[in-house]
Amino acid sequence: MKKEIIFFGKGGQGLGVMGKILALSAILEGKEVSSSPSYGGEVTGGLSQSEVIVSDEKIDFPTVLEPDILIIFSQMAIPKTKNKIMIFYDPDLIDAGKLSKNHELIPVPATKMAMEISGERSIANMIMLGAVIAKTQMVKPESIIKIIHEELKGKNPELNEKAFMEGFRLR
Amino acid sequence: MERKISIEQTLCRGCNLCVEMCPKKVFEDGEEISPEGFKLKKVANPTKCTGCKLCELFCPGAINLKIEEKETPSYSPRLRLGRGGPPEARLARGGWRETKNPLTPGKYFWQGNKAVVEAALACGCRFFAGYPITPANEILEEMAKRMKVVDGVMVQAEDEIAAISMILGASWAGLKAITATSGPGFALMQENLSLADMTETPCVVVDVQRAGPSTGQPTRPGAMDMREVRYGSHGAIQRIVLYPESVQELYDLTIKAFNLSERFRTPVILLSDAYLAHLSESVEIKEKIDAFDRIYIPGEPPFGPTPDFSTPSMPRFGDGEFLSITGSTHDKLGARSTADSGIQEELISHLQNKIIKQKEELVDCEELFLNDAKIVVVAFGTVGRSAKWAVREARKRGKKVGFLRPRIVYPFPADKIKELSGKVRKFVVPEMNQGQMFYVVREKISREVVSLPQPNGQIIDPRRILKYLLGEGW
Amino acid sequence: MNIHELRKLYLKQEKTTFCPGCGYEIFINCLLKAVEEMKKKLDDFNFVEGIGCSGWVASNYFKADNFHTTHGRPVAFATGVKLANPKLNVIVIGGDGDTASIGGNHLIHAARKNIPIAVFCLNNFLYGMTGGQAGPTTPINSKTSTTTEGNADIPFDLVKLVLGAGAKYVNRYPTAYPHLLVKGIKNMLSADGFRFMEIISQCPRQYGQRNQMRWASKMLLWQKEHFISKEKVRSLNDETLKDKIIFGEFQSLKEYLELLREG
Repeated sequence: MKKEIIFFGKGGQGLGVMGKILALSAILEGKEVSSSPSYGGEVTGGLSQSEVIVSDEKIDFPTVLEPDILIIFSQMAIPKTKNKIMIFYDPDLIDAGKLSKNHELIPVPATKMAMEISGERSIANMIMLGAVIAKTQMVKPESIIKIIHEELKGKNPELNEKAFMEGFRLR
Repeated sequence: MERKISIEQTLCRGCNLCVEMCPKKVFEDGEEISPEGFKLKKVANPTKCTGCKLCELFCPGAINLKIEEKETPSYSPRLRLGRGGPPEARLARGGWRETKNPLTPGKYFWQGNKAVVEAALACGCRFFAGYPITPANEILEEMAKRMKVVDGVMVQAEDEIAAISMILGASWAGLKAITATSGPGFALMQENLSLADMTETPCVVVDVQRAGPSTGQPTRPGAMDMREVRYGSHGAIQRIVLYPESVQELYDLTIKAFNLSERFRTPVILLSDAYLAHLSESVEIKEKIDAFDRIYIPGEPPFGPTPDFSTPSMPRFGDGEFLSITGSTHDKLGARSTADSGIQEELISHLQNKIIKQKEELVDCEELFLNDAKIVVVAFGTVGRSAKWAVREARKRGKKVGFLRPRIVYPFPADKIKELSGKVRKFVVPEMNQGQMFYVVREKISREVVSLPQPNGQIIDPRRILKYLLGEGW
Repeated sequence: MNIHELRKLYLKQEKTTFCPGCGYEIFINCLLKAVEEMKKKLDDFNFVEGIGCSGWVASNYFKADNFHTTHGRPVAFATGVKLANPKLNVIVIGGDGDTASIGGNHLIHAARKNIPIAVFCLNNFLYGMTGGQAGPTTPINSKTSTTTEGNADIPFDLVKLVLGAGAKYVNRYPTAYPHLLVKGIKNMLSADGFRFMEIISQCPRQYGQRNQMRWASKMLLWQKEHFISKEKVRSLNDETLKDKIIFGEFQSLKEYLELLREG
């Protein structure tokens, strides 16, 4: 198994944390992980992109060449590829009509759910991550929960866990 | 009080200070002429001496002034003992040791720069000096945090020249020391790196390369110092230079850099780049580390030449060896010899050969599909990641291509390349520069060597190399 | 022990290669005497030197650990040695070009950070070893091999510079008063933190010869005319003080500026 994942959104949406928790969970399960500094097209206007590659084997090239999964909180140009990409998006932030129909589109209303759960947008990233893990089964949910408690110590890991599980149960 | 004044004429330099500065005119010019042609001095009026001792303080040791004072001070310094006692009382130290990794064994998720820090600490480095420069900053910042924990020293120096100076000083004080910088800072360090070569001072310098020349693109990767790190310093030198390809290798090769540096008593350059430095990857940490500490044998000469081009014993300050370390040409005890051509030649030969004679041991390459390869991609460091991907893809498409990546860039594995050149048609050298290692490869063999340069501040897209291997040009 | 005996004990060779009348011989004598009076040994100290005549003092002659480094960098090297092993007594011996020109940056930062080393600056007013070129302390109008018509640049007042950088103990003594030099060196070796001493030294060969002071004694007399102890400063009027340089021990910039009547 090898998955190339791109996270895309605005600064402050917790994309980095999301990528890191996914990466650490994969490592916990003995997988190889690479996360390269943003590369390729310039990322400007407060937008940020982070990348993670998760693989059972050693990773030759550590930057995403042809993404398998896109997780997007802001409108982005979908990379040209022959692959069928799984695109997880927040329908309240993204105009799905502008996304290519050749790919598998998976709406996750993370921001709306986050507001309903806690009144805070900040946990939308964990809801999204829950949905991604449920669909792709890249890592076990227990691994994610363990890492949430290690990495977000002092930052309300219980709430983050709850958000993750809400997302996980969507599928 | 009785005073006896005498002059040891062979030490008189003819400066006349005794004659002219003595308030009582005790000294006068004598009749005798010195070999240098000045009048030797004589004690003309000894009875006028008041014992003010001005003359002996002015004189370069010729005047021997004995004044019997009521209480003779009980001062009898014993020399040649030093603080460590006589050589036989001191203990030899150094060599290989298996040490427990301070970190719990397992897998970690680290950024490249972080891996350098953890590896340095794990093999016993306790001194870091550095100056802020992108993209090496995280090493400086992380060292500031981590050195505190392990009771080591971290200094933020006033500039890179000071940083390299400090680590060389620390190295002679007995600590394993490291600094980290990027191209512009590395250029500033060249003079003292040459001193490190000359004085056989172990240290590790990390050069996190960025796209240049000059300020260039500080956050963008390049491999533009590939020749500078080897040939940048003045004088005839050998260098050991390593270039890892991954965060795991950054960790492993940092340890290797220290071990080589301590074993051969030479500065070792660890190359990285803006991409590798900020790449985060899974890193496997083992329970035990093999670390080499510089060897010290009491009483042994601290510098070369050695009979068999071996590495000389390295004392530290305070061992009582009366260490005399100098960047001037010196003999094996460190005594300066700035005009003797024989000593100069012997020393240079020693500095070269202590590394060159070990060149077989200094070959460390990653090899793929070399058995039947007609085209071999030779890549260094990060670009190896792109090249490896491309080579595997090309193989899937039936191309007979191979891959060679020297982890130790210098001494360059010339024999390896020569051996391959017997059956390989063409060598290809992709680089994040305008073609630097290309020349190094080409000068070793008579086969076709092709440069694939990309000095645009981006990591080379592996698909670009693949296209080339499939015959689509560069 | 007298100086003759101390030199025989501590110097690798009794006859140095310094020019006849060189002030560095006086510094060596005074340092050995200071060490003896403190009941210490020369090899209790760890010497670090740069390049130039001053770099030869310890590296060529002293039976003690020493590190003869690159031009201008001894203060930075010494910082590394001291921080790596705080038990060592680290002494820097540099020239005026070494410490104040090419190495000026290291000097002020070591002072600012209060690195516990003793920096001795042997100031002979020019670059002696390379042929007598003007340096950062060359007095105005002085002739050197690069200022044959007289130096036009204002020289550094090293005491002011180092006090300004935050040093807590600075002193300056001319070689014309060797007993005071001994006292100054003793205080340097026993003080804490960063310490700086400017030794006003004579270079009859390169400086004296070009400035009508061919003999060392003439240079010492010149020192006696132009340098005045801080104790005597108060009795002088502004006019007499104008061309004089103050020597003695100083603990703060404020104190020094007051003595200069600039405060």
